[in-house]
Amino acid sequence: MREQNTKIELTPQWVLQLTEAQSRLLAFLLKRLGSHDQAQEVLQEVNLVLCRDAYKFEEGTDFMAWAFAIARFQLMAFRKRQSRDRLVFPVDLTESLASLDEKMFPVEANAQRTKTLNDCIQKLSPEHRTLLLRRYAEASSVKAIAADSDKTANAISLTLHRIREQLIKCVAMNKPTGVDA
Amino acid sequence: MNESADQSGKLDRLGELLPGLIDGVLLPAETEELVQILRQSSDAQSYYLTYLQIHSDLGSIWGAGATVDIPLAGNLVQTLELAKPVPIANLRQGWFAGMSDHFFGVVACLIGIIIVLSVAVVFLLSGPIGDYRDSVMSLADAMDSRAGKLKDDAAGRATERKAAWDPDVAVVVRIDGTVSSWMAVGHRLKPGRIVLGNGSVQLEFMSGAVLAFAGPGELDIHSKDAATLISGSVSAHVPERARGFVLNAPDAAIVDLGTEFNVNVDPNGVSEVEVTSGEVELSLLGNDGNTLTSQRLHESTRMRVDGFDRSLVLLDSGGSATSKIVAFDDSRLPVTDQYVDEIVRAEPILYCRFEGSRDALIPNHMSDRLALRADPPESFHNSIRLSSGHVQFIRTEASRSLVIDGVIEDLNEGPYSIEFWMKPDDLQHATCLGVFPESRTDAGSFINVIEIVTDTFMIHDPGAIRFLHRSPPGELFGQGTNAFTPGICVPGQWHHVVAVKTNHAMEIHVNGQLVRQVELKEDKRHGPGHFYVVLGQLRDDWHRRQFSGALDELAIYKRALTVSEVAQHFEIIAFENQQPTLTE
Repeated sequence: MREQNTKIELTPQWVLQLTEAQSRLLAFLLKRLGSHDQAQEVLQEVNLVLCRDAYKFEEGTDFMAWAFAIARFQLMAFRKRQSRDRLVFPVDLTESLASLDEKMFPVEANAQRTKTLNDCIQKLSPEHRTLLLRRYAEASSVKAIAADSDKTANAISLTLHRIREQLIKCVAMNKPTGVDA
Repeated sequence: MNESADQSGKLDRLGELLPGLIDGVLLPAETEELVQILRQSSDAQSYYLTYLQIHSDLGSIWGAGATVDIPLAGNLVQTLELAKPVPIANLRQGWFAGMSDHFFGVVACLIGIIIVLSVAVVFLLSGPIGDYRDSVMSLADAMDSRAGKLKDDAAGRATERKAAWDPDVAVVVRIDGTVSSWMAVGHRLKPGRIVLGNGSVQLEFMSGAVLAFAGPGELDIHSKDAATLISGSVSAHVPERARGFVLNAPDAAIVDLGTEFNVNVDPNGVSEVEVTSGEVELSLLGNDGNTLTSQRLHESTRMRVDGFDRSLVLLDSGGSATSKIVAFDDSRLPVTDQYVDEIVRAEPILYCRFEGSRDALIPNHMSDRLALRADPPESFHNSIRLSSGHVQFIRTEASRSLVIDGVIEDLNEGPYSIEFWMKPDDLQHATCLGVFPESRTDAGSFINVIEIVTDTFMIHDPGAIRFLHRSPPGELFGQGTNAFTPGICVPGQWHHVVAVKTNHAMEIHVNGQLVRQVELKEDKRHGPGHFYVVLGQLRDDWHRRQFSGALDELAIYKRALTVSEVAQHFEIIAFENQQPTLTE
């Protein structure tokens, strides 16, 4: 008999870790699935397993590594459950992207990349920073931002796209030596 | 166009597609384009990953992009019920008392997240994630009745569903082609409209009617007995128990009289009906919505309903229906050696794997005793078949079942567990397994049945799984204690089902989750006697409740499996068998 009477040590820190992991987990899944809806669907399952198996997580070990391992598992389970024609990406493309993703964006480079990105955000115009805040801090939809600002959703989407492009260039230019991302 | 210009063009196009991907508004054709670009260029793959990484990093920095979408999936449906603002200490009262600390911990975990992220959830309701909160999947999702909307496939428009207390009237059992991702196999439907751009879905109504609906088109679902095809194509199979099912079309109503038929409604609203088996009553409707004229259509008859001329026109049979009801495949349950080892290690007294038979007996993996035999013997290989590593039960007019050869001694004197995998063909009221006393003389005398319940006089979700414990067993239709799952099983899907009687309660676990626990009164818990097990029907009486579908990996233990053991058994098959090669 195993794991009887195991209690979850639910700490604010654990909840915070889970919260902070959401964006990275969603991107991890989105990159490999190519569908926002499906990525959200799998993310729900990943959260379910993370909560259910919280007692298995060893404090002091890498939470993100553990969460990614579960996400990989759930991703495989999801892909197996779905009929082939419902999956957006074929298996060879998913594998190719997963392999490239791990080379380009290793988990250990997250902190440095975030720092560089923060610096780049400071270089944006106040209007663009405000737009990013609305989209990412308030989690507003493009449609909602457009409605508030009297612009079309396409215009907002295009502006956000240009800001992301600017940030991609900025991060690449300011990448510290030795960091691949 | 030279190669570098072509490459540059692809990256530009990718730049146009990626915002749509992030915002979840890519059209199917654009998604296909995205796949093609990524397959053709490693530079495109790098750019794709970099772009999504920036999006992810921005979300991480500000956090709200990182809203936790609380796992409201149905396999924590009890958690849903408990995730109300109730003091945590109170949660362990009532029937929830005695539940394992593990499960309680999961509940507490979710409640904790809800509290910590309550502000984020407010944003979520109006944010991009909120649009997808009714995306569902698999059994977990079949148990999820929270979905509030039916979504349009192509344009993302939503048709409001009726109130939450409306009953679920149908379940999605199969999807072919590209349909909206909210519509996963196992999704339960309330009355409302389905709009399909492309692809097709197969629905099983709670009445038993099965409809294959192919797009582009719109289908209004009214109840478990009625629907209206506004446009598109439907093939219907209506078994005897659903006789009287009504499918409306513009200017027409088709009342089933035990049949299979196809209906096509073209974009101009002209309907064609073709009967492939049995017969239907076809009504041409007048302006007041009542029958103007009606005609009985027999097998191989095809008729056009001309609403303009108010006439029914007989056509040559053999029209090509774009929708087609597809039988469930004979897919094998992917059992691993690790799963078998784990079951053996858990020391069941009976473990039937249904891999083969010897002298008309299906062996017990644990000993030479308690093998299974068909009753009557001639049903073996006919209405009871071994194939693809499981046993397949076919519904017939005659009695047929698998019975253990011998009795389990003193089974009800303490805790015990019954574990198996099942893949039902439909949601008809059907007994998967019954446990009867050695001395039984009638079908009402049992200590346990595990069955799919639909159209009973009891209160439960249609298509739920029922675990009934009746101790002592000697009372004909006497009082027992029920544990119903809070959701339904899904035809054509494998489900892990475990019924556990502990020293004080009965539990039912589905797909690794404890979904219901019911306290047993002290005098209803244990009792003496020897018992045998019957698979595939309630047996012998006229009301046999025959199960149609597949069963596999039956294990019976003379002890209560723990919550974590059950979860582990499920996960070995569900997660440790995931190889990408199996996916494609």
